[in-house]
Amino acid sequence: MLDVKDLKLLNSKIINLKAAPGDVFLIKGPNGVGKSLFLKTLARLVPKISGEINLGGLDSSQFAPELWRSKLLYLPSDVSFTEGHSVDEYLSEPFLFERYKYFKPSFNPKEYISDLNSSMNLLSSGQRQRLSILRAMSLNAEILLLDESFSHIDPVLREETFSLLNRWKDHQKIIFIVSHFDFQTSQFDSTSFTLK
Amino acid sequence: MMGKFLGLLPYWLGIFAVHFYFRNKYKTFANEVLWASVRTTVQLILLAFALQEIFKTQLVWISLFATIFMTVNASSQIISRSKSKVLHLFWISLVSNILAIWPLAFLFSMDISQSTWAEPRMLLPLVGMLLGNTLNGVSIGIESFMINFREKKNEVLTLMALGATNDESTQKFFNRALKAGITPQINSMISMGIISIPGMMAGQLIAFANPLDASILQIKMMLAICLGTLLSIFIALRFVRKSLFLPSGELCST
Repeated sequence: MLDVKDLKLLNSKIINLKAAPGDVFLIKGPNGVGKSLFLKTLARLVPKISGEINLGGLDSSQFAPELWRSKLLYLPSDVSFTEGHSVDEYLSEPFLFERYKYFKPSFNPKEYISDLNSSMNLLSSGQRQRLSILRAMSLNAEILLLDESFSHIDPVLREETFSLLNRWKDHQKIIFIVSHFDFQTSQFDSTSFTLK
Repeated sequence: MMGKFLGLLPYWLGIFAVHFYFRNKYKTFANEVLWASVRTTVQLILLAFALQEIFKTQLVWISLFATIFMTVNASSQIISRSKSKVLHLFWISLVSNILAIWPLAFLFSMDISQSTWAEPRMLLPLVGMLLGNTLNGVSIGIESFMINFREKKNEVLTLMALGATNDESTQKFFNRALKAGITPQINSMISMGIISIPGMMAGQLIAFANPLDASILQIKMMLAICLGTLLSIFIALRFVRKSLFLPSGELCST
């Protein structure tokens, strides 16, 4: 359970929200209102002004920042990768971190990729976005924070990615999505949350 | 004494010739050469007079005071060379210089003369050489780290978001900066004796010192400079990296 209490963002917006396992939140609002800032604040990538973010009854400050971020995993819209890395290296990169040294992933993204040796440089923006979502699902986060993560994915791959995400969230997960696509009715049983 | 100053005349005539030749087409460059030459001459002559007085005293506290003065100046130089905004850069440079250079200078001085190591005549030239040579490496290292961090901030953010520690998410840039800072020193060490004879050794040879003694002292100095540069960059980069994150772990700015 995620409980956001009087969370004051750097742009002074105040947010209250509760999310239970299996929930999908579609964050809406005009450009510049702070949708990405909200997700980054949830992930503790940027500081908050005040308020609380509780996960499973524990305040975010009780977690080491990297542990918290691995639980509330934020994906930016621009996929960045190490220059010259192959798809395989891209997918394996997080497992070099101390946090994932002994971690056995339950979801294997490599099953959904035809050519692991392709260079990341040669992939389209949409292919990279799909890979970043697959990689995030393999890391066993409790909450995914997707910031415009489907903006370049074509309709066919998008459907397939939605379907994988749908199955993923059924394992007691929560998803937050910032997107300009209005897909909640067709793909997810989602709750709209509008930032004003 | 006048004869000594007159000895500088031919060199200064060369500098003036260069200045007048280039000043029409390359005014800035010509002025910079002239300005640098004036500064070198004036600063070294003033230093010579100051050292003459300081060396007469043999007082340890003068060594300490001059060492502090030189270290503070070196830290200010790092700030003036830096194009990136780094929080507390002066203190970062000062601490890294004190932790890396001072112990090396003290040990080197003790190695040369155990009884007089703390006297100004022994300590000050060594501190000066170590600080002067490491300054460049620290500046290059910090600049390289900050440029990489600024240009690839999204990459850092992505790695942090995946669960990397702040150190892990910037490790690649840290290593690159360390390498960038130490590379000029490594190049200089590799060319030593084959392409170049360093100033300290050349000075000793001109003063009829034994070539092997001069070489041994120069080797010690080169190794000390290499160690000092590496340590100084490493310490400075650790602090610079720390300054980019809040104590609670978030990035200072997006």
